[in-house]
Amino acid sequence: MTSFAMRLDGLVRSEVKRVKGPVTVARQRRTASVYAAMVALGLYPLVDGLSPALVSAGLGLWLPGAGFLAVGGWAALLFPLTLFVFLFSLVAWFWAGMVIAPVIIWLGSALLASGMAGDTTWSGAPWLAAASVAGIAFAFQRRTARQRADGRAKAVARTGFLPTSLAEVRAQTAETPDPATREMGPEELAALRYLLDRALQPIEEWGGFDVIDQFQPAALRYQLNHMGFALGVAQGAYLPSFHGYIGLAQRNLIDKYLLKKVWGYWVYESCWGKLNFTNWDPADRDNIMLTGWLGMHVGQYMLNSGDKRYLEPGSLTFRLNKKTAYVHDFTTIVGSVKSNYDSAEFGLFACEPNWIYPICNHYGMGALAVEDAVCGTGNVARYLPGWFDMTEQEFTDESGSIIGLRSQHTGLPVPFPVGEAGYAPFQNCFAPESAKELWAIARKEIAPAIHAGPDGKPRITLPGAGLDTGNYKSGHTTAFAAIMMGAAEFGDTAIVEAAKNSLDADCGREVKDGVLRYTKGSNDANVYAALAQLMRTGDFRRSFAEGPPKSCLTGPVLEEANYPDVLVARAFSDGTGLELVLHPGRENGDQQIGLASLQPGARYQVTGATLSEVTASAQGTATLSVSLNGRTEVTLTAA
Amino acid sequence: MFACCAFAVFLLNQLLFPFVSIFRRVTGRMPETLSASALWQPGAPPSPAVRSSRWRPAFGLVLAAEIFMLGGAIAVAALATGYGSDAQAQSRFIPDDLPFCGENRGNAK
Repeated sequence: MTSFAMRLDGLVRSEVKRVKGPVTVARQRRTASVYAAMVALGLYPLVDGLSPALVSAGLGLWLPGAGFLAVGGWAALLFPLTLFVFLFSLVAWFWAGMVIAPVIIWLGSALLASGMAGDTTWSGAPWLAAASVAGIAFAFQRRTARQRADGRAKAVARTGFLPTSLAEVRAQTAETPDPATREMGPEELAALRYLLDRALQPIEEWGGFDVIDQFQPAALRYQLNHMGFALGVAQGAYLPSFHGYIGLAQRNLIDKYLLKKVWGYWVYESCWGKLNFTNWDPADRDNIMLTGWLGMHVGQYMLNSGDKRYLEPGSLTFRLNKKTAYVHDFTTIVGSVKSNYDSAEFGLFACEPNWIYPICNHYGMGALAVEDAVCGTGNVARYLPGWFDMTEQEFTDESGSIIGLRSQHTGLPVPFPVGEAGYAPFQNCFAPESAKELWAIARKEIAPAIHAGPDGKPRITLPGAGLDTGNYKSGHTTAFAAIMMGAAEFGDTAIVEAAKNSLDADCGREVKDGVLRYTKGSNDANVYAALAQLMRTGDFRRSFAEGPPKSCLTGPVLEEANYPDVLVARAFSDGTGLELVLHPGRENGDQQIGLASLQPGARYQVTGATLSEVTASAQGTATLSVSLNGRTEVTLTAA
Repeated sequence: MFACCAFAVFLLNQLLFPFVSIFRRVTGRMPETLSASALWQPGAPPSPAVRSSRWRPAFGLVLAAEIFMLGGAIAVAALATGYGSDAQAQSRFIPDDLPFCGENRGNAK
């Protein structure tokens, strides 16, 4: 395991081209061999003077649709059309793990061309097909060479600023908020309400969600996971001694996740990606986009609330129909991540069939880390060294960055827009020193985009129209929110401010009925913005790796409060007493709140409520009436 | 950045960009800027624009091509192997007045 600085140094000093990892080399060699065999097979009918049908089929093996050139005449126009369709089939492969799509187009077009062949073939077909293959290969080669040169130049630049930037990051992350004094302000409460409104509706209802497709970034599962992360951060940082609706909201999200509507995509991907028509267990092979993300989500809830119900067998059961259910719990979900790591040739494993995304593997390692925090397992110590070694060997480019995506079957890398800013907060959950290096790189590369806006306030300007991955529309809401989230995690207040100003200025900020939303952003982008708004230095890591102070899990808790009448901005226990800060969600007035985990029969002194003293029931509960008038403090201390 | 496969979206955007631009210019339709899901409030019905049909034409194209290629390939394979066809006597119509000797030998079509 080497640091980013050492990795950069090695890359910069290296005079030779970057050496690929051994698994990547083996896969790419296999891919090249298969293609060479296809070319040779395609050449044979031509050389041996076989029938036009076989010549057409053979040329079709060189390039998708090239067989139509041999057919000649108007059929030759099917060649560019097939190439175009082949591109779409590659998208389907990306989109939904549809491995069979490009195979069908390529081989199907070859067979089709052979069926269309007449008595003769066009004599120029082999030359044009060969020229097309050479042209495409040349274009890819040029692009790769240029990217490598750019990457090496980037590595040199990074070695120049990394030490100073890293020192700054270390200094600014050294100071973390005092958990005993955390309280949400109006802006945080308004952001939290965006999440609660959606999470507290009945399980089968999806108001305020984007329901587009269940394969890609707009899928419901990602919206649910990100909402869970944001609520988990709110629970751990501000409300560790509040159960009530903050806990219900998180459990609702998990219940929604178990609906077939959310995880049923795996049935399709198993069929057309793995040709598996019998076992559709979503937590078996691959699918780290479910196991890693849900593992983090559920583990975070248990860690910050102290509610361990998801350790019970069957607590996370995916029901397919009346007859079939895939019975899981937190341990088996994380167990799936571990068993996949145990057998992963690349060290990391796939989301959709074939596609390995290091970002999802960060979620996977996050799931292992949160299991360590909840159950005391030693996952990170066991898996992280190998995980880092393989990431460095197989998934690092010439600039030192992590390659965003690699095809498991072919070994080929594919550009995927995840930068250091995206990886850093997740890596902070299980490898904080390495994560600081990532952020040290990210912040310096974000800095040129920061400038003063028309109002004189700092803001970020990003190129192009942007892409909101939560609804596939244009816009920078996702990007600004993600930058803000990363900056918040590493205490970079200047970047937080600039990103927040950009969100407010460009993304349709609106506060209506006490709810903050960005009207130009998708639900997922809004959720990420809310998460960023809630976070302070190290909050993301703490919510997955440490949890709240133990006193909050053993002391009195606020068990009941009505939403949205009572907004809880702070709930903290020192183990014997309880400190609350409440706000009226609609209007000032009297509200009942329920307390639990008190010492049975014990007397408590109360401030901020109608009574000045309360005695706990034999079950350790009590009810208080509080008169909410703006920000209202309520304290409970053992008498 | 945090979603699994944004590259697919990115790629699709790049592929469709010219067509989308032309369509917008011709029809004068600009992309909707307000998000129905973000505007949703408790008690309201699920946002009306929750289902997007933007990508349906593209996926329809892929699906149609897949079915066409698969069907065509199966048909060609079936023809090539003679699968499913009974043995039939082959006959050719040969005009009565076409002599099979002399200068016309080998010209029968």
